[in-house]
Formats: sequence, C-alpha cells, structure tokens
Amino acid sequence: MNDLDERIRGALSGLRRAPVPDPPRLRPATPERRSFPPALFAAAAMLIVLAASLTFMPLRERGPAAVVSHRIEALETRIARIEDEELRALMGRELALLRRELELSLR
Amino acid sequence: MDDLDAVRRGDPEARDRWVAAWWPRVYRMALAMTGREADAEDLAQETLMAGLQALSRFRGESSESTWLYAILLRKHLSQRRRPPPPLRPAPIGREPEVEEALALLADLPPAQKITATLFYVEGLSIQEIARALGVMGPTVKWRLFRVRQTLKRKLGSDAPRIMCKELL
Repeated sequence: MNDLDERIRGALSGLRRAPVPDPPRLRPATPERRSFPPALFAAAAMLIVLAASLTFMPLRERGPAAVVSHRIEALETRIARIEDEELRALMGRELALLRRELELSLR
Repeated sequence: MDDLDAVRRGDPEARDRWVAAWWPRVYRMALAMTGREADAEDLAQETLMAGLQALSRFRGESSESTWLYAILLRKHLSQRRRPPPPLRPAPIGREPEVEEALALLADLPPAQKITATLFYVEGLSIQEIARALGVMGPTVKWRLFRVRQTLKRKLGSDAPRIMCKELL
C-alpha cells in the first residue's frame, strides 16, 4: 500500500507545478448606505395617523346587533311592568329568543 | 493573528496580503477539483471571497487551511448543482506532470477528489481531512481506499500518457 501511496503522491505532485495566476484583488461588497427618502417618512406618518385614529375613534356597533340590543332593553322594561304571570312567561320567551338572536349576530 | 484581526477590521492591505498568502494553495486545490484553469480561478475567487466574508465568524477551532478547504468543497458542490458554464478550452502547453495529475483525478467523485488532494498533495492527516470536510475519520479512510482502488488501475495500466477525455 505504501508503494501505491508513493506512486499516487508522485503522480499528483505535478499539481504543485501548475502555474498559478496572480492573486485577485478581492473587495467584499459593502452594504449600500441606507437613506430615508421622503416617501418613507410619508408612509411612517400615515401609519401613525392610522394607529391614532384606530385608538381614539369610538367603535361603531354593528347595525343588526344594535337594533336587537335596543329591542331587548325595551322588552325588559315592559316585562318589569307586567304583573300577569302567563304574559310575563310568554314575553320572557320572546326575550330569550331576542338574546339568542343577539348572540348570533355578534358572531 | 494580528494580520487576521486587521483583515477582520477591513484593512485593505491586510486583506490583499491574506488573499495573496492563500491564493496558490486554494487555486491549486480548485484546479484539482475542476480540472480547468479558468474554472479553478473562479472557484478559488469565490472561496476566498466567502472566506473574507465569514472571517469574523472564524473562531480558530480548526486551522485556516482546513476551514478554507471546507468552504471550497461547499462552493464546488454548489457550482456543480448549477447549470454548467460554457465549455472553456484548457490552455495549450500545459506541463505533462500537471496534465497527468489532473487526468488521474478527473474521474473521481468530488468527495474522493478533495480527499485525495488533501492527503497526497497537501499532506494533511486523516483527522485533519475529517475536520475540514466535516466527516468521520473512517469515512476519510474509506474514501482513500476507493481512491487507491481507482488510481491503482489507472497507474497500473501505465498508458503512454494518461489523458483525460474532459481535457481533450
């Protein structure tokens, strides 16, 4: 094996005689200087305005939910005034239906 | 090491010295891998450029040479995955010894090629080669065994001159 190794080493040693070209002048790419163009400032300002408006503007209730909510309040007031048990039970069922409708409209 | 720090700091003169110091070894290794001078020059440049960019992360856990050879092998393998470049002719008047060495290596797979070159030309030990290539020692021994098998046939044939079909 040593003899073979020596033969291979001798045969491959020719690589050391390969002419080598001049070394290149390598310059790693420098990152471009980052600038802040006016468009970037404008975009940032718009984002700030948007964030502020979302923070300070009151959220609008959803239309159907608001209506149902109003009907529930009115019905609760009416039920409170009724003394007849049967009628109260009937209106109570209507109230339960309205509450269910409100839940579904809020999903 | 001071010079290495200067290269890391971006000193252009230190960088030129570092490139010039490693250029011959990296170029020859690239020539062994590619078999063509023009391709070797490209590969050596890519290797050293990648080395310069990664120098800040080099912790000195291995020698610079094994670290650079690992980069060279990765670059070579990624180049092979790209579409092949237009064929460039080998220079006329290449020395016969160079021709013979390249012809011997030409048919070896890349992993065996770099292992053979590191072992027989650069004189690295099996452990050093294993570290450079990120493999276990037995893998290096196995590759060298396969290299010996292949080259034994080529050397044994003792043809008038081993000519590589890639170089013709």
